[in-house]
Amino acid sequence: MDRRRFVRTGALLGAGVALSAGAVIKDRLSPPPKDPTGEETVRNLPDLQKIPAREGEDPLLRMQRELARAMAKPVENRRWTMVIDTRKCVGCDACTIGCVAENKLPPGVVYRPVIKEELGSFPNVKIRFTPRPCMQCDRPPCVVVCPVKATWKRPDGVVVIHYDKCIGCRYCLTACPYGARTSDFGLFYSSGVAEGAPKGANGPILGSDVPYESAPSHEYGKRWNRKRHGSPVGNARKCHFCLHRLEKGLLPVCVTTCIGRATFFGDASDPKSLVTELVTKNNVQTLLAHKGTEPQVFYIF
Amino acid sequence: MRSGYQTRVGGNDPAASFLDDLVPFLPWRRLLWAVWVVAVLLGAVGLVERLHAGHLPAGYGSYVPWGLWVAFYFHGVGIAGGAFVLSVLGFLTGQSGFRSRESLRVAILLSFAAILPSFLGVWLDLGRMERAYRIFLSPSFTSMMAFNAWMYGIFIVVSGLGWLLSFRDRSEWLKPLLTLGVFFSILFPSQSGSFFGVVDAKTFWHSALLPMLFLASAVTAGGAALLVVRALVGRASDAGETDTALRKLRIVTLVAMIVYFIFEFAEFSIALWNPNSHSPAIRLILTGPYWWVFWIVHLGLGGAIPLLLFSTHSRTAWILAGFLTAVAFISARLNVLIPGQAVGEIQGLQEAFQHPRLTYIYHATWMEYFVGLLFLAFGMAVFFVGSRVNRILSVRWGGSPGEPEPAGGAGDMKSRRQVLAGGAFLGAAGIQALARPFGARADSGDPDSILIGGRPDGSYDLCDPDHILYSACLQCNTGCGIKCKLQEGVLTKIDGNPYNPWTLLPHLEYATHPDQAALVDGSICPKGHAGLQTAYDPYRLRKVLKRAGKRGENRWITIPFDQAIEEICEGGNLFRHVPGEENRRVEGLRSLRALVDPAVSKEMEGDVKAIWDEKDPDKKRARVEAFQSKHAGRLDCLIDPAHPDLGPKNNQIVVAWGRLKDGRGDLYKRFASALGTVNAHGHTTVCQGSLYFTCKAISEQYEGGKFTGGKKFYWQADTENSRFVLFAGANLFEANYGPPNRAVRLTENLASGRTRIAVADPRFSKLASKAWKWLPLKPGTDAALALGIMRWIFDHDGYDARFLSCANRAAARESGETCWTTATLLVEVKDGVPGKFVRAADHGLATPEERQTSEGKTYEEKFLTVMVDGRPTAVDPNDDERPVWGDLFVDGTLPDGTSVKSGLQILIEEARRHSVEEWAEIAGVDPDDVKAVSRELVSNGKAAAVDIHRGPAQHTNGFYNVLAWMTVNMLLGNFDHKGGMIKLTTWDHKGKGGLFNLEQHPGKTTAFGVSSIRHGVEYEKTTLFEGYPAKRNWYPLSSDIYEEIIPSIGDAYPYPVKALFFYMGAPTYALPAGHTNIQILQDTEKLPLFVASDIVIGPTSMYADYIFPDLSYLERWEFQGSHPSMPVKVQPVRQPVIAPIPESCTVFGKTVPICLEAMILAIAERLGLPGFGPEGFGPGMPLEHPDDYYLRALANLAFGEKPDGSQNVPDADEREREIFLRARSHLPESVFDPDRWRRIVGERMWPKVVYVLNRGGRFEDHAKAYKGNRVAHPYGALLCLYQEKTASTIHAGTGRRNRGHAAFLPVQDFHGREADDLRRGYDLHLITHRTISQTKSRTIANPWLTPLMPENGVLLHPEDASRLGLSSGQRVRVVSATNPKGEWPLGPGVSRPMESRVVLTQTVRPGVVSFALGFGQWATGASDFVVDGTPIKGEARRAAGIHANAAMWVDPALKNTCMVDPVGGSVSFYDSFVRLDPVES
Repeated sequence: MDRRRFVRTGALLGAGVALSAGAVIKDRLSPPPKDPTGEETVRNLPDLQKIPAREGEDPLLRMQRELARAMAKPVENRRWTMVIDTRKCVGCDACTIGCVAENKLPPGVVYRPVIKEELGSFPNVKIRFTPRPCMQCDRPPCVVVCPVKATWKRPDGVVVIHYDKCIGCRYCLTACPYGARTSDFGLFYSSGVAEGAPKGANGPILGSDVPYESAPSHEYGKRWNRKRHGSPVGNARKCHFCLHRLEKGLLPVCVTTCIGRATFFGDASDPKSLVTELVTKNNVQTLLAHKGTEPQVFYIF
Repeated sequence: MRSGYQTRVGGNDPAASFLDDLVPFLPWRRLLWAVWVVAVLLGAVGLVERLHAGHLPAGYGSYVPWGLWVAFYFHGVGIAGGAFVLSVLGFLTGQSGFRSRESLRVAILLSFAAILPSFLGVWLDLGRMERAYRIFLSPSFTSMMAFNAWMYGIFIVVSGLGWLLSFRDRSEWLKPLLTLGVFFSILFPSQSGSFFGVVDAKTFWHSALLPMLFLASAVTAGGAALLVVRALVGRASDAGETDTALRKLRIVTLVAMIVYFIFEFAEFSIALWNPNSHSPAIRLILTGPYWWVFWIVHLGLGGAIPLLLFSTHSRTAWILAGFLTAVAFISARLNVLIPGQAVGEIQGLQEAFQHPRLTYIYHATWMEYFVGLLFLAFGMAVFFVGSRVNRILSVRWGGSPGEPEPAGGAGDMKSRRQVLAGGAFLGAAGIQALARPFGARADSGDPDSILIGGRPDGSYDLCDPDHILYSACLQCNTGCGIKCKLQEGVLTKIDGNPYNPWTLLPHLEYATHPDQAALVDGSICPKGHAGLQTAYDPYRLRKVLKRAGKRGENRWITIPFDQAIEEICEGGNLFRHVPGEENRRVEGLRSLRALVDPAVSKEMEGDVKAIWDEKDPDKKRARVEAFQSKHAGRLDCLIDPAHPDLGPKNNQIVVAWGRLKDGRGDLYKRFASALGTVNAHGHTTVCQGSLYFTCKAISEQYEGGKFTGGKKFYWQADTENSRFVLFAGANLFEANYGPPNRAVRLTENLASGRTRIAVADPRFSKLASKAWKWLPLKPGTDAALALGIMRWIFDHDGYDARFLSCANRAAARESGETCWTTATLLVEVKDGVPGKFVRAADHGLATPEERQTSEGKTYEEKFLTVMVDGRPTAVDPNDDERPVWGDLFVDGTLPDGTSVKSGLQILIEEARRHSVEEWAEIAGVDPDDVKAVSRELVSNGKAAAVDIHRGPAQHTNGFYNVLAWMTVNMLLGNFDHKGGMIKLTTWDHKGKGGLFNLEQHPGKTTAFGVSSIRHGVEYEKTTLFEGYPAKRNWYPLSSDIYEEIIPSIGDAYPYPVKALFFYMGAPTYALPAGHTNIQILQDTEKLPLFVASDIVIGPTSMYADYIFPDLSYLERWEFQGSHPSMPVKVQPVRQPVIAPIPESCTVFGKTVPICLEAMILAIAERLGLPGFGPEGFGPGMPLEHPDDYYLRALANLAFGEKPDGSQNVPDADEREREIFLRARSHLPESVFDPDRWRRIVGERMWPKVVYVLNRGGRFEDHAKAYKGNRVAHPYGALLCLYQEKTASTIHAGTGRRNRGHAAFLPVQDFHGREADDLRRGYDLHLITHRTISQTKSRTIANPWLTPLMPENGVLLHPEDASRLGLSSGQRVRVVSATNPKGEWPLGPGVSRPMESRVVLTQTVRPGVVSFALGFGQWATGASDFVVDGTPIKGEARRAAGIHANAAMWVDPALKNTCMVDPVGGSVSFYDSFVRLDPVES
């Protein structure tokens, strides 16, 4: 009797352990959710042929040409990388707000803040500016903690979130050492503004029903309308290198709007790209390198 | 014994319990019910709030994403696991007190009662609750969360099965199952500690000890909870068994608790002894704002007190201890959860983008606590219902030990098992079925998708030329080119216009097709991005507002547009509805426009000029009398016949503006001109008047024997090519016409080392952060610093001698220059005071010549004089044939004995008043830095420059500060050179090329007389001259004296004003001591009629009688113009991008949106003003609609400046014209009517206008910016290093002659007194600065910008703070000698204190305090107001921070305005001293 019970106990425990371990190992080893790869991801984009490449052209144009070149390859052969030259960053926050506008980020959601640090003492002072996009880590700690496979690293290196899968548990927020993920709590910039104003087109003032807030955003090439509590309300959100712009041959908005031209973007697998050049020629660093996350955003200090 | 409870079920005294015996006085059942009811009620409120408002009422955010509920969750699963494992281990090992199945079931029930609410808690915590099933359907077991959820899910199933099986005596699966339950509940998930332990990002969590801590706390809390529950459910009859259990649980709990504290100490000890470890979190736990959670709740209630209670022999004490422990151990979870999140790895993150959801501070909200109560109620309910079910099942199924298993039992069990199995199967199948559609759709995603999923792909319109309109920004006056992107007619994104040289370097060639340009975004600053929030501001006005209360009360009624126009034009008893104004008659424009005959006005103008030109006082009086008799019949047209030079009554209409750009500006000035008033005044002096007017003085040309024709403009460095720039008071990474266009021209050069910059500024700006040297000079000592540099340059022969010696145009050309200076011209010196230039003919050095001016007037040319090798030589500076190079340093006498000095001699003597060290001492900078900067300036050839902005200009000595800096540039000889000082060049739009002459104004009267701000004329010439000091200052050299517009009305000097129009201006906010303006505006006697044009109720328009809604910069036309640092010729066009927000009105029979133009046109229509209407520009050229002006101006721009049309832009091709129409399809006809537009410009120009509009203006290609080493559009004229004209003017406050050369002057009031009195008791020098996110009164409407700096604060050096006993973040009030209360008097009975927080920083010079402009708003949506009786709320966000302008000094002599620069006109922005008084809060 005891022996039988012992065997049963053992069997149950063994099966439990085996199943659990199996499940964990399976998920550790299994590939990320299905991403389109191969020929179907090749994009023949207008590569500014009619704007002749010139010596001394704005680096934005050079990077845009390189972008088109990269998009002509299958996604798995691209390797998106960002280089931020903090010597050229003037701390203007244009990237931060450009990103808010491009991705229609609500209050409390930010993809790319610029950190300002005051160092030294009068009169030997210094201010350091460090833009902090998502690092698109090669070993992203945010991905493994997602309980529902709603976030993963794409073949081109971008860590994405599928808003329609994300359950909003915010585990990934805690896992990111860079604080690069924020949660969409469903706020609107215009809510509660001009309370009491008569509604409708006949009112003395415009009123809080401002049209830009209800326009859908284009993240991930889809349309997301947050009105009526639709996703991405409740989701985790993060920088995705403006994938929807890349698809159209446009650089991420933080790159194009950088007034100091401190942010560079491109395909690190292209030996002739500007980012490759910058990473090779400079003593680049990554943020919190000791965390072992292997960021794909590099800094020149 | 062990079945005692079972046998007694249904017995005589079911209510009798162990607890009743123990604590007979406590009605604990009723108490529990009461607790439950309260918990349910409050919990329901919380739940409704949670479901209704989502996560908004919760306190967690993105940096502390998990709060109270997650702590509850882990506490719940801890209790569940702990209670289960203890009880089951006791059961399995046959421990007394735990042997009975009933005790087992109690534990399982307790587990359920703990774990089910926990699940509810995390479910409510999810952002997307409806997708919780995904954890079970598509889990990723790499996630500890999924793993945990599954483990606890399995645990629930297993223990549930165990519970069912426990009713079956002989089940052989019970013990194995229970063992499995133990495993799942506590061992495998390590009681969830690893949930946190795996998070490497949180140092505090990332510890292997954490799972052990969780385990220990689970056993502690579980044991304690079990102890309480066992006591609670124990029967009196079973007291022995219960008591045994209690005794054992007491020991276990005690041991576990002690183990926990040992572990905890172990954990803390690492941090305590190695502060580099995760000590911030531990410091937070021990001494943070929630210190009491650790010390009182955790150690006290969860540790010390239970330990004490457990150490007694009282069962009651044990139960109390158990209760305390079970409750207080939530603190163990909280203390892991919250502090672990509250420490960020990235320093400065929460300051980078500020929002309540982006902080490391977490406070649970009432909603979270209420929902927490719901969990408690739910748990109690689970336990209660479970117990009832248990009792029923016990009766039904339960048997005695040893009894054979009832026959039906097995069957029952079997069926139960089948049911269970079936249920499980069905459940799984159901989930599968649910899941399939999602899965199926997942595979059928679009192959082009970025994400494969059920949601269809959406098109990205924003790079489609059909959705793009190019315009120009006006969030600040840099006016960058913008690319406006629309979604279904709604502007949702603004980027940089790549055709425009502000946003791309080099910008796209003008010929680039819009199809290509659509793909290229240029760079703009954050304000540019946020601009659409200015257009779509909820407070945007749609209707005309008329005042319904006292001025400033902010009570309004809406009135029809036409009624407003009628009232303004005709006047009358307009405000009889306002208490106190029942009988006030307002004079309308019709009667104010007294003089309407152009011939008469022309004649009067000439006669007034004659009065002014008469120097002899008696003859002057005679001329006045002559005037009076000549115009006797028309004297009633004059303001004051005794002073005909005050001009006609028309001058009592003042037309003023803040930000006014060309196009609109042309129309607004045309309006003033049609009204016949001289009073059309801008805002220049609040920005940097003395920069403009000093450069105007420098650019005066020798013409007709005198100096005239100076241009209101200035130079900046050619940023792109400079090798060295000293920026003084310029902060071009955040302001100063800089951010996008100048930053890009600097950063690469700085990073590559090609360029070096130094920054002279009392505050370490972002620009300074990239500088090689920072010279933190004392505010207002610019001239001293500049003279120090000049001294060094003179001492080291660092000046450009060849350039400076050029005395005329020919010499300049011969020397390879485009400009030349007055450096060598001889100045007559009387009593050591330099005066006018020597006229050669007056000293027998030349024969006078009869010449004609460019206007055809004949005059006698007497020539100026230079020394050439010691010989006095006559020179005409404009001579471009015979080069003359003069001697640089001349101090001597002419043959006739006149003592003379050269301009440069006067300058060197000024520079040599002090040594470099002494000058440095005055400026408060290190002399070595002065020398090093000087060396850089002279050793970079002509590619070095001093670039200044408003910093040096906005002082009472502003004119001379600017002159000193510009003189340094003259010494360097860098004007027009690549890398040197350059000026702007714009394409004309007014008809220079002869296409449409938009300057013709048929039938207008000539405006004449003294302006209300007394500019452009010398006090001494007028009939108002009464000696010195004058009542207020006179400004012969400057114009647009903003700080005089309203205060002069207050003093009725030179005359009372009857009507004031104000467009896009906020002098009350923008001016130093702007509060003085508020007091005047409120006085209806001093200002009977005040009409404002504004897009919202602004800080000045709120005092108006009427506010006409206006179009924002995204709905209107303008020509933005250029800035001095832009080498290429440009004309950016601002065009309507979105449909107008205001209502429409009808003017000249045409529909237009209500706006500035509509107001002008309607008044013109009603009054029949000349220059408007069907023949506004002459026959066949109407001006009845804004398009009549703007489209013609655009055609002019497209046509170019050559009458032969050779500068025409190309025609837009077919495709471009298509794009043009499609991109404007959302605009209403009142704004965009292609037929109307086409008709106005004509067929020939139409495709060219399209071409220009498709590119957002006209821009020369970058390649055309330079010719060799020089700019393609040079200044190319005389530079007045010494200024005869300036030197001949007199300061109206002191009667002293102004200096004509660079000099260092102290800060003085209007009467020339230094401000020592005002400084006494106030020792902090107040300055201001600009932050990139705000532009004075306008940008606060943009909520996107708020997170960058929600509140400004007062910057203070820590040294000053410790001297004054102030600490970081402390609230202070800014007070000064002229505003000792530190208040803004805003309106009747309303004032606002100037208070904010102290921000300690090393970036300000000690002794200096600064605040960023743009905050502390009281209008623009910041305050409540009433329209048509309906109160409308202001937005608190907009009122945040401080605007300390009211602390800036009121001039003690003028009394109703700030201190002024008497020469350049600038306001004194940076001269006041203040004190910071701590505020109790």
